[in-house]
This record gives sequence, structure tokens and C-alpha cells, in this order.
Amino acid sequence: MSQSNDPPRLRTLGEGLPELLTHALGAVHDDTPTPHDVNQMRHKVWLALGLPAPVLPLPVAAPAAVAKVGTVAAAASKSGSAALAWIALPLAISGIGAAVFLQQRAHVRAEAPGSSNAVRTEFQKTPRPSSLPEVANVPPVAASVAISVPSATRALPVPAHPTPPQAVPTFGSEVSMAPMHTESEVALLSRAQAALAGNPSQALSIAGEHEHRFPSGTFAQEREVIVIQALVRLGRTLEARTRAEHFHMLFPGSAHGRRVDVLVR
Amino acid sequence: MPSENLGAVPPAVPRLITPEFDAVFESSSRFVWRVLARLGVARADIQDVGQEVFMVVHRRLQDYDGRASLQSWIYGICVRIASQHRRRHPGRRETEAASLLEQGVPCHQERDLEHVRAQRLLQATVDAMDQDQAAVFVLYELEELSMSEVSSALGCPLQTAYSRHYAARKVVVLAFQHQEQPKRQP
Repeated sequence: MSQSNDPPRLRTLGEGLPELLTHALGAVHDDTPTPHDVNQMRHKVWLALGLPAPVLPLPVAAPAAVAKVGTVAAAASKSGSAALAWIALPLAISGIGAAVFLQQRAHVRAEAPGSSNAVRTEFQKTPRPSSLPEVANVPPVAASVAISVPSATRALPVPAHPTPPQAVPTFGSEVSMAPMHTESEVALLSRAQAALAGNPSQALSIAGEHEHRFPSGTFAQEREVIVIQALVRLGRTLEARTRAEHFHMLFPGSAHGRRVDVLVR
Repeated sequence: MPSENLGAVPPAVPRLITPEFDAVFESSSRFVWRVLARLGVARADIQDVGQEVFMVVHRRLQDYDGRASLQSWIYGICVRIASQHRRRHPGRRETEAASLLEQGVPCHQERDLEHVRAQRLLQATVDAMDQDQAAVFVLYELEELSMSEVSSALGCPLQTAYSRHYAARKVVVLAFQHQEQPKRQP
């Protein structure tokens, strides 16, 4: 949008411009991201905010699977067997799901090595161990230590007793790949967020690393939310509440405030 | 005792992303991507930097007061994040540009080749420019915001935006004139 006092834009000058510049200005909007680029970015944002991956439109490779759905369902309806259709449809849909999953996974694997490795985890939803009360492995917390010095900027609370090395769930093991020191602030947080579901202790540790590497980072609020969530998952409720109170002191009116309240309620 | 919560299912986390944020992402993800590319973020980094932009957008959306257009408000965030990124990774874009040039151009028609050459020259000129001037040039000439939107996105007085635009435009026109001069000589 242009206003009356604004100078004329270069592309409107026409004649007086070098021809090459006219070409360049005429083609500026040709350079747009592909739907895949946008979806990848959406996944990263949603992952970093701790939300389930959004539903994506079907990728290009899926039509074969879609056709399969049509064929199977049509065959079922032709045969007049409603029951068969009801059985076949979910099977075919799960086929699409698998196709989409594999394609997305392939895309993610094909990413440039310099990019965040956090996204690598987002499709790898291996089931959590069935006997998982991860809280059961957590030693009792020295509440006095953890609560008496509440500070969002101090080092993360250390358990009173050293925790024996835990068997890391598959989900976490992917997450715990050797972190690169060049890893960006957001990539580090995404890794912490991804670790939350399967291994909250590790999420705490990664959040601690974030605090150490980015003491005045842009995403301190998001780190604190991850820490509070991890503490809740570990059953360290009192620490979580203290941290939540501190969060409100440090970031009054934060967009994450309500979420923090619900977490420690 | 912390054990009071042992075995308890963590409380349900409320839906963090409001429909407004969804809508903002849908409507602005493409131009965020485009602006980051124009502001000198290497292609390989655009998704990560875009992620940072939207995390900031999400956090600050409730503070958006509507005085500037949403688009120019998001542009302002893009400019700041892109600037931080370039400071953290100096030379990254240049390396990418060099490797692109080495790859050659997969075009068979001279016209396409000319377009690609023109775009690369424009990008190289903007990359080499003073960052403040580049931001004004990108927002005004390429993204076609009004000057008042540009000044509000960049947080600078309107007159400053005008003078940066004037300087940036001069640099761009000179770069292209310089490029065409050898062709005109007999």
C-alpha cells in the first residue's frame, strides 16, 4: 500500500531503469516458499510451543494411498458388504497415515546438517514404556533446598541423592543425540520440549544447558515453562509451584501465564 | 511432601495456540519466509529463523495494539530476528550465494537466465547494503508497505525511513547500471 507522500516505487519508474533491474523487480514475488517449507516451519513452531503436531494437508506422494482408499471402499460398497467397507476404510486410512509418516520422516531426515535436529524427533512417537511411572525413579526432593532459593535464573535444582543412570526411552534417546554447540537457542528448547514427554529429567537437563548457554536468551519464558512442566511430570510439585510463582514475578502478563497456572494447579 | 503427586497424571495443558495465532501463522508464514530470505538469512536457516519469529509473535501477540498493521508489526520482528541471526552467523549467506553461483543455472532459455541473474544481483546488492537501508528497501520496494508502515515496523522516524530509502535506492540503481555498462560499450 502506498500513500500520497511516498516516493514512487522503482518498479513504477519503467523507462529510466536499467533493464536488468526491471527484470529483478518484476520477479520478486516468484520467490515464494513451497507448501513443504511452510509445513516444516509450522511443525517447528508448534513443537517448540509444546503442542501436538498440527494436521497437515496430504503431501503429494499420498495420492496413491488415497486412490487405494477409494478402490478398497468402492470394492466394498460394490460387493454390497457394508461391514467390509467399515473394516476396509480404517485400514486404508491407516495406510495413508503410514505413507504420510514415512514421507515426512524422509523429508526430515533429508534436512541439511546445520539445521535443528529437534524436528527429527517430532514424528518419532515411539510408545512410552508401559511401566513408566517415571516419577517412581525420582528420589525424594530436598524441598528446603529447592524452595528456599527460588530463582528462575539460578541453576536447576539438583536432587538430594544422585540418580542412577536411567534407561532412556527410545523417544528420549533420539532426543539425547550429542547436542551440537552450534545449536541455536530455539533448537535447544525444541529438544527440551521433545524430551518432556518421554524423559522429563532430560528435559530439565537440556533446559539447564539452555540457561547456561543463553543466560539472557530471547526465550527464557519458554524455557521456564518447560522447566515447570518437567518438574510437574517428575512429581516435584512444590518446586514447580515455587518456580511458577517466580515466573509470574519475572514475566507478569506473560502469554504463558495461564498455562503455567494450569500446570501447577 | 513432593510425593503427594506421585503417579498423578499431570493436569491437562490448555490449548496454547489461540485461533488468532493460527490465523496469523496462516496469513503471514509465506511473507515471513520471503522477508527473511530477502534480509540475508541463508535458505538452510530460514525455517529455524522463521520458528524464532513466530515464537516471538506468539508471545507478543497479546501486546499487539493495532496501531501499526499486523503485517508491519511482524515485519519489525523479522527484521530484528534476521539481524540477530546475521550477527550470530556472519558470512553464512555469502557462502551459500557463492555455492549457488558455482552450481550454474538450470535454465535453457536466455530469458530465464537473465531473470535469475537479475534476481541474484538484486539479492547480492541488498545483502551488501547497510542493514537499516536494506530493511527499508525490502519493505518498501519489494514488499510494498507504505512508508509509514515501514517506519513503524522499524521503529524509526518517518524522515529517517525516507532518507534510508533514498540511499538504498541509489545503491541498487548504481549496482545495476554498473552491471549493464560493459554491455553498452562497443
